[in-house]
Amino acid sequence: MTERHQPSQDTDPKYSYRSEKTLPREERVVRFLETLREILGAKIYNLPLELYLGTCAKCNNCAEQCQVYQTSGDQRDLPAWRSDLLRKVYKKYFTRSGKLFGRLVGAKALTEEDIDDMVDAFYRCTMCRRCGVNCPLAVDNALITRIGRVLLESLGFVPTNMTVSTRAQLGETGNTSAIPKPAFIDTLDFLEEELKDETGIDIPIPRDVEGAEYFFAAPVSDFIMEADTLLGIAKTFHAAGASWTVSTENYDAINYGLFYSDVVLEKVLNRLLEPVHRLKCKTLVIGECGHATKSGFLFQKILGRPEYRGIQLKNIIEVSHRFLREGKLKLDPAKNPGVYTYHDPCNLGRGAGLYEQPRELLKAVVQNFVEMTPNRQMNYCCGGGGGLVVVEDLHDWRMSAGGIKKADQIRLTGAKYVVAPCANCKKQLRELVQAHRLGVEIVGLHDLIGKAIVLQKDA
Amino acid sequence: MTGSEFIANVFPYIAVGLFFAGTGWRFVQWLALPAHVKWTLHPVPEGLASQLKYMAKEIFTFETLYRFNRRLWVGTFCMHMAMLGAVLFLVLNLIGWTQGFPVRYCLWLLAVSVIYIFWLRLVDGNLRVLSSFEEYFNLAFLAVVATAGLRASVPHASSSSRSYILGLLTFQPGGTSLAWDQLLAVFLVSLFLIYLPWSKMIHYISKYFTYHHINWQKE
Repeated sequence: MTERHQPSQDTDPKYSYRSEKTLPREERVVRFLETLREILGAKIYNLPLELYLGTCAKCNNCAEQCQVYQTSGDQRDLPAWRSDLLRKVYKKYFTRSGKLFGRLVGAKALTEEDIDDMVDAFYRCTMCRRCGVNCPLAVDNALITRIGRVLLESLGFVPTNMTVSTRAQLGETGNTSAIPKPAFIDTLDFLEEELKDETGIDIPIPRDVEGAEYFFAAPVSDFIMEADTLLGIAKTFHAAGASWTVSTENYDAINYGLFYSDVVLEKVLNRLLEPVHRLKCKTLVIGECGHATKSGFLFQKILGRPEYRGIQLKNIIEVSHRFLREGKLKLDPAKNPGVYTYHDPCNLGRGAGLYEQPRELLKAVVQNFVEMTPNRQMNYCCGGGGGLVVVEDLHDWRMSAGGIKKADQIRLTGAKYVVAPCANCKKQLRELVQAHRLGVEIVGLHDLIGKAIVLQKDA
Repeated sequence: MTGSEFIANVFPYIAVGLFFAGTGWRFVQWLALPAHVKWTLHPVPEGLASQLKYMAKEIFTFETLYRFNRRLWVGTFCMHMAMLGAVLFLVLNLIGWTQGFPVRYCLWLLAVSVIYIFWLRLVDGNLRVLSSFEEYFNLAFLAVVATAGLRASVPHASSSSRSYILGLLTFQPGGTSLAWDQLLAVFLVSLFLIYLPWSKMIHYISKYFTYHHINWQKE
């Protein structure tokens, strides 16, 4: 284990990742049950929770589809076993049969040791939802993992990287990387200069434009590490003659609340929606980021403020695909030589149904495309899903149990480039490439669109 | 009214009533729950026809298990088809289209497949870890019901099971001459019907909610 994986002093060394402040052991059971009661009282999970926890047939079909279990063979990675940790508690305290018959119906009183098991198990799941695709009873263990993490958060168990980033996002700077506003504006200026140098055309990145049709928000990490993706997106909007804008405040689409907290998710989501509403933009377009897209798509109507619920939400892939269909994009696939394959980000595929649109775009901008096997709804997670990609303590796990299936899958394609339109996937895949010496390059979809797009001076 | 008369002539009506009431109550309870978080799992079959096709395929072939868990699929498929077959052939027998032996074959298949699944849960390490008392109890209950049904379906000199069931269906119960094994079968089947809606075997309706209200939710 390298030095970076050593837990800090204020961390319970029993757990595989660093948390900042956890409750004393003796207080955990009571708090856990209080939080579960609050979650049920909020009434936004009751139907799925009751069905998932009450009707699972324990057929173990999920394990046969779980890439983590298929790699580790560890009982803790059986999705149904993990869900059972919460199922037993739910039955014991919140169902009549559990209260009356206890262990006879699979109910069990919660102990501190059970919570230890949960801390471990719920952060060994990438929440990829692959196991749900072929569940005979349509039980989705990823939601149970998510609820489990929300419960653990109330005890203080959250990977430090997530809480630090979220604190910055909900603080003065409004973004997870704590970039001050002047620095962000400098970045936008820099991107405009790059566009001018590259194309010889003035392609503006409009800022805070009231009434723009599209309000674009990317994960802030794209502004630091994925300039090519953003340049491609700017060129796409420009070529299509679209009315668009970015915001200079609350522009970060990242929402780690999806992975551990409804309170955080709600705050971040509403902060993101606020300037869209204020600027009277019709559509919020999320950049190449799977979890940001999913957190908006799934939670806007239930956690967004009522006045924000009319805002349309799209992922940039949907918008670019529409431009392509409308003939607004002139593309030259010869600009992207080499063999390309496509990684379906879980949150864009299983989470948002974006399977065919990215492929149509990709086939329009590259000459040689090969599919991974399996793909679409059965594609493997990158291994860093569920927010685990930001947890440095889990790096070794992500490179092995979490991601080895993905690494093997990429190797078998023979491709030189892997297209991954998701910021978290890109980070994890690049680490996998390095750890497993895959010899491929990870790129964004709009990086390639940006290269292939043929712009006219008077566009 | 003696205990035997109660079991033969009254209890089946109570059981069927409780089965429908329990199933209906749970259906309505789930239907009445407030709007939940959207948790769609893509791809979603487009249109009602595609969704019905998907469901029919899953219900009649258990394709998801077939693809990933063939050993369990053998037992599960046989068990469910045997239950379906037993009911279907019983109806055909009652209306005079078939003899009684297809029902008996189905009950044999049901008993054997349930025992197979029970065994599989004991010997497969992962299934054993996941299985609680409830899983074993449900299987054992089903095995006992199937076995009792088999025993009762053997032709009896004193009373015909077919005539007895026809009597129940026409609200003219005449179960006073039932043999002990026929009475036991009636009692166990009735108990099972009462238990079914309150067990996790309620998935005969829960699947509607997990698919249509959650996995395939559009808005």
